[in-house]
Amino acid sequence: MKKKIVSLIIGWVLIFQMISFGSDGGEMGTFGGISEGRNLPKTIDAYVDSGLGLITEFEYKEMIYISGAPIEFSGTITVEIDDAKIMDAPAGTYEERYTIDATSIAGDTMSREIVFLTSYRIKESTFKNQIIRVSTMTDWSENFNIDGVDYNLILGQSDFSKSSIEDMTPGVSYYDTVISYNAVYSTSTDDLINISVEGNVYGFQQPWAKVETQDLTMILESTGANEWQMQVHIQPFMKAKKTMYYDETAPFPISFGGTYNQRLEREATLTYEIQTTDLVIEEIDRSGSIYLDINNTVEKLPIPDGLDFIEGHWAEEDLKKLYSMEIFTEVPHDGMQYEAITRGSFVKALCLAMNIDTSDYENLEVATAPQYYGDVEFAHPMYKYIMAASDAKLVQGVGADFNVAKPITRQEAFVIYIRVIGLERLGVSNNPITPFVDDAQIASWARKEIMAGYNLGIIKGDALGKVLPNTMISKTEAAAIINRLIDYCREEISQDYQY
Amino acid sequence: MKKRVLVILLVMVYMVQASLSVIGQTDLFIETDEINQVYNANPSGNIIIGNLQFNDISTNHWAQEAVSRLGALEIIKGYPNGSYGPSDQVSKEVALTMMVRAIGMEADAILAAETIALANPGSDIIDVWSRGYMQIASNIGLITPAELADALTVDQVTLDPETDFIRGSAVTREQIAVWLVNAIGQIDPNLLPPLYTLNTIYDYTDVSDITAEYGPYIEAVTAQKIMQGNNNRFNPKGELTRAELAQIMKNLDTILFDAMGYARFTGVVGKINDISTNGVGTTVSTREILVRNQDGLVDQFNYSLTTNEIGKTTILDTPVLRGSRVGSLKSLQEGEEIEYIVDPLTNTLLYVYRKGGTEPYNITGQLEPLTDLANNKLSIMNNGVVSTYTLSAGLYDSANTRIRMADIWYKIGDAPVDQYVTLTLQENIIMSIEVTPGVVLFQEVSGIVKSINTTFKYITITDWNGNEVTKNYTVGALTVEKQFYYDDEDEIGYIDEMFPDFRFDERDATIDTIEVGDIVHMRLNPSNLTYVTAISAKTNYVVKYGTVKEVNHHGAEGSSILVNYEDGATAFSNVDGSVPIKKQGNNVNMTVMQPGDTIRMLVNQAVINPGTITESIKEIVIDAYGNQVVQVYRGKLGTLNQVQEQISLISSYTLGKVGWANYKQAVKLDFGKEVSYFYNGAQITLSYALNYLSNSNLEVYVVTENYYGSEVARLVSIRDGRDSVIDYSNITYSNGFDTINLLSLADDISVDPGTIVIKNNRLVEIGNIMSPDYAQIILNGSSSAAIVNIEPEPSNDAIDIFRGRIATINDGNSFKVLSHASLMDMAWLYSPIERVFTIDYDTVIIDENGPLDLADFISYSDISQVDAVYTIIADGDYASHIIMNPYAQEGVTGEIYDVANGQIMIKDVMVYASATGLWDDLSFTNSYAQVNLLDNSIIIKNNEVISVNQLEDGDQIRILTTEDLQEKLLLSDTRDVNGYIILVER
Repeated sequence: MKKKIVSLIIGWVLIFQMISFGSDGGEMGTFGGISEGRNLPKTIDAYVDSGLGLITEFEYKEMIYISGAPIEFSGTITVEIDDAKIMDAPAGTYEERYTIDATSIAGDTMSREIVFLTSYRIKESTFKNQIIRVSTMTDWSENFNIDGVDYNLILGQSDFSKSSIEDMTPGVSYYDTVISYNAVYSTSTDDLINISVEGNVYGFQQPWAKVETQDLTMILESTGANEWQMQVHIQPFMKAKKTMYYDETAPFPISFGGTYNQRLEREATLTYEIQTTDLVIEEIDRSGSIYLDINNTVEKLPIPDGLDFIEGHWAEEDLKKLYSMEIFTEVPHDGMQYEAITRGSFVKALCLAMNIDTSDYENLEVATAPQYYGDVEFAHPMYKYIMAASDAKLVQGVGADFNVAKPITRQEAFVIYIRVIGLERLGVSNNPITPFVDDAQIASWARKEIMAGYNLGIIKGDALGKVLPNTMISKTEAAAIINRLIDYCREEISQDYQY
Repeated sequence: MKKRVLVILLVMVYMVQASLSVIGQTDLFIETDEINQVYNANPSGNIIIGNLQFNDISTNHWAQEAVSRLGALEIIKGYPNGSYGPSDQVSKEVALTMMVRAIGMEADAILAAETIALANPGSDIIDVWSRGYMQIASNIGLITPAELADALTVDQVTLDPETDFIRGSAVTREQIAVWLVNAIGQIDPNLLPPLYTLNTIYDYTDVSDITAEYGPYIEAVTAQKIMQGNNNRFNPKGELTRAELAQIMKNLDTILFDAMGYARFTGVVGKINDISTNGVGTTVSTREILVRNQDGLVDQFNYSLTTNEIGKTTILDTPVLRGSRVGSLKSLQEGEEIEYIVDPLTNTLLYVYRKGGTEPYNITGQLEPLTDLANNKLSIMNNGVVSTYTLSAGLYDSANTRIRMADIWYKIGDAPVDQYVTLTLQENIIMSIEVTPGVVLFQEVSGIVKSINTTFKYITITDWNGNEVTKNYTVGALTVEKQFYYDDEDEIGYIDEMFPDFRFDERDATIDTIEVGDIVHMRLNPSNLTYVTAISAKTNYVVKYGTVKEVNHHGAEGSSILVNYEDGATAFSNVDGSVPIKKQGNNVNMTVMQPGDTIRMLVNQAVINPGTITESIKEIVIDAYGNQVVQVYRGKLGTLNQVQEQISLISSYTLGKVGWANYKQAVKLDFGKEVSYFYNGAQITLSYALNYLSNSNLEVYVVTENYYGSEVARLVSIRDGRDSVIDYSNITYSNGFDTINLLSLADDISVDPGTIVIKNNRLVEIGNIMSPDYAQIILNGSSSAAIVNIEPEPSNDAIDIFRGRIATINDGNSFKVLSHASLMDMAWLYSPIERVFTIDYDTVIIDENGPLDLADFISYSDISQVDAVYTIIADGDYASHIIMNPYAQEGVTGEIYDVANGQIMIKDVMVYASATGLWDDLSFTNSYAQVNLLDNSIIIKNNEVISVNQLEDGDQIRILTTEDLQEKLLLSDTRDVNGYIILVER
């Protein structure tokens, strides 16, 4: 029995690490194409290893401009990135291999394989990690057959440079990759085509969504018998998110009224704009977009039971959702809807909501377990959450007590809220004046985060323009706040990535 | 012989420099640090505390501490009447008793006393209380067997005071020294060995009085400052008081503790916790006292009071000398500096001496390299003096690789060595460390601009601490640098005065460019701190998204836009004429922004006061794909698939120019980001639609928007009336919210929130319907509009079509035509005047073979274009298209019903005969024709050249060609013509 539990926990940690940390994306490749990308993990994956392993082959689409006109190719991309153990060592190398095979409707073909040796190092800040990666191309082959003409990459004259930075904040891991490459192709019509591409790949990953967007500029030059030049601006975008909807049970005599279904959605889009003069492509064809619509997968979440007393309450949906997602874990009881939530419970719920890794604080010995707060000893049920949240810089604390059982105030909750998505820098200064009428009541340590929340449109005043920083929060209000955070993570946070 | 010598013992008082600043600070880590050792209070502590309440030791007696301490260690005891007798002479028996107790042999002494009593039944020896101690003193060689015999003599009067050992007689100081050394030597000869090299005793003027063989013993106690004498006299033959003896025993300090097997520590009480545990019948009340000891570690004292089932209480307590009285362990307070003695064997706390409430204080110095972190030590240097202190355990990690200063953990290599740090010390333990900022070179203030007054020349900012700061400036003596939002951030980084450089610097700016809300750093004038000499600023913006609801242009002043934000809020914003507007990466004119566009704005936002903010728009990006209507569907609601987020329509049509067309048995549409549902004009939920409206006979209208080349549902409007199509006509009236009137229809038409209003391919609000918009209306019911589809009224009036013969070409810039003809309706009007048209890289040049490079459009070499005749599409003098195609005089009109494979199929064909100048039906029975498109065909719609796939079914077109189709049909029974110029007219 004990063995079983241990292996389960190890499995959980493994899955967790593969998905949430130490990845700079790359599921779309680096050539301006789009792929479906890997799905976000299902909730059940945390409990059971399906044994299916990680999927590495994805549906792929790319616009190819090498013939002088945009042609849509569809096929597959295989992405093999051997970075599973990246967090184990502060620096090291691993191999990345991208294999693409695709065809166009007209029967044109392409195949491409590129291999990188990527060196990485982890720069540890006090509370978060950065990962810096530099990739060196070690092998590259490409051939196209378009309209009877063969195009082959000349490896000796081509080079590829790529480097990325990943910023791992408490709940969200953001990255930015810079790409610059130059590819030279010989053609069967004795032309020489030079394609140079420069641009950035931005993205983030968190438990509710992941996004990758590329902003690439490609310059093509053909010399030889057919001389032409073309510049293309390419913006591939990929998003995966988890959403949920209520699935009411149709039969009347059934033991539960309904459940939440979690939907795992994915989509990828690509827009391109050709700036050309010499080659007349009709203006209407100079820009376009393609869309990869991927079927959603669905997963049932547990029945939020024991909540009959909340039926019809303002916060019924929020509370049911959080119980369904197992983010609220307190035994439901009538009266909780107007009880204040404690600091400990709020932090625990956020840890669960943002999948904050608590594995460092599991399976410890009482004697050697570290302790940050006087009132959160090893035996405390909140121990691992508050310790992990503290490590993640979610909660601050030097001081005797965490005040784990004290009700949390709105400003404390907002600060944690903004820190979990790592966007406190948008508050600009450490001590700004906020636009709220009751600004004077906001504690100095909460100002930056509250301002960032205002700038992001997350924190809004009430009808009188007050933010009520020192008011306590009921459990149902906390449910609404956390639910709002999850919704923000599912959707709005990605908005600026699609422009 | 008895010599009375007055001895005064010096008591050293250590004082802490009072100049150190005092701050209120508690031990931050006391509860989280690991407990080093737990000491329970003494089971007999409660009785000892009672015994130590001596009535003759005044509260400020100099020996009070020594007496209490030795009492707690059970070396000295008081008289049965509750007094101690501090001034009483110490007798030999008392002195020896103390020695025996001090070396932990009291139990042996008691046993020996019993043995003696048993061996002498009936003897008065039983009255000699010290008999056991004397026996032990003899056993360990402090006194000789002869002396023991004297001591055990019941009647001491029989002894000779000069030669015999009178147990009750006063002991001399030198005797005490000898006994002390010998007694301690019993435990460990190395603790306090006699010193045979005599040094210190020669400092005493009365050294000659010392009994010669006692010299090494007195040397030992004086070298260790256990006994010191007075006025350079040791006074070896002097007597001493009980208080003095207590002090001497205390001075043994660690020697005594080592001898007794005890340990002494110092520390600060950090935290007191009370815990009560209730069992069946028993109650245990425990007070845990956490103490930060001299090594920076945490020790815990436990006081406990247990009441068992039968009401018996057991107390574990330890005497605490606190202030002037001996009390319980419970009297300790947080923050008190203490000295404590424990028995490490049993982990019992024996005695606590509160040295006084120590206040934490700060000292500052330069941090030395952290070479001794392994021993929890940190050193700082102040004026060349290196001082080393012990760290609280919470300030470094257990692996000794990191240290915490303020709230930051530094790795050893990263610690700010040589920087000034301020240590908060309590009892020489470092409680916290702050890093002092480096040397200040400039006076600068930084913050966010709150207001700026260019008339009176002052600027007010809110600084990083939230304070309002106002500074003056003089324009002449102020340099301003500003980072604009569109410049890359790495442009910041060089300071002009340091690297004078006179090339273009985009950061050079003036005070006028500073806006409310900017982040600024202002350098103050050193001679007048109310003035600033330099400002470095950066735009501080936020990103907002919304949908444009209204655009009001105000000419050069810009425009105001009504924006619907994501959360449903709407607000007007002014857009300055200079604000860049971008679409698909290009800068565009303000007029490009249309109601219905989705936009992303960079907004400079400033908080003037809590509750008041100002915003100014710095940049607008129009989403080229956002809210672009692709199709309008009509059908019956099939299902709403929640897993795949799709809606299905049964028996669907799409809206075209001619009304509903393109029948399909079923279509499936993906949901967009936000879908809204309406039923007869009122907004409903998805569930309502699912439950009550699916598979019914209602008409469902679905608007889809472009989503990256695909289409997604945006609005679903369900109605229960009958559908009818009204052809395009002009709106004559709109009240902006519920009624419109159409030129072609007498009755008013009602519109409601469920009415789909499409203007310029964008889904817009009802308010955007205006006279004289040109609209197609779908009625549902007799007078309710389901769809209002507004399009630009077709017109090609703004462009001119010429034919001209090239005279000269100014390469890439312009060309001149010898003469030209302009197309008016169907006639080419000739003009002999030369005319110049400008061209550029955007000009499309097409000859019979297709596109011609601008570089090949030249007037020399074998490809010279001089004398060639071209059709020119011109906007004023600018030629947008130059096409070489034949002189097309004949004409055909018709309505498109199919476009495929480079051919346009038209119906209701009319033919123009240039000979007669009349239009005629092609056929009265089957009037259709085929228009062939060639490489040099040109299609014009709404003053723009379009491509063939932009043509729609229902478009009314006019074709200029070279053949008379009517004649051709008659002669060759073919109905196709080549279309050279195709004009979309409706």
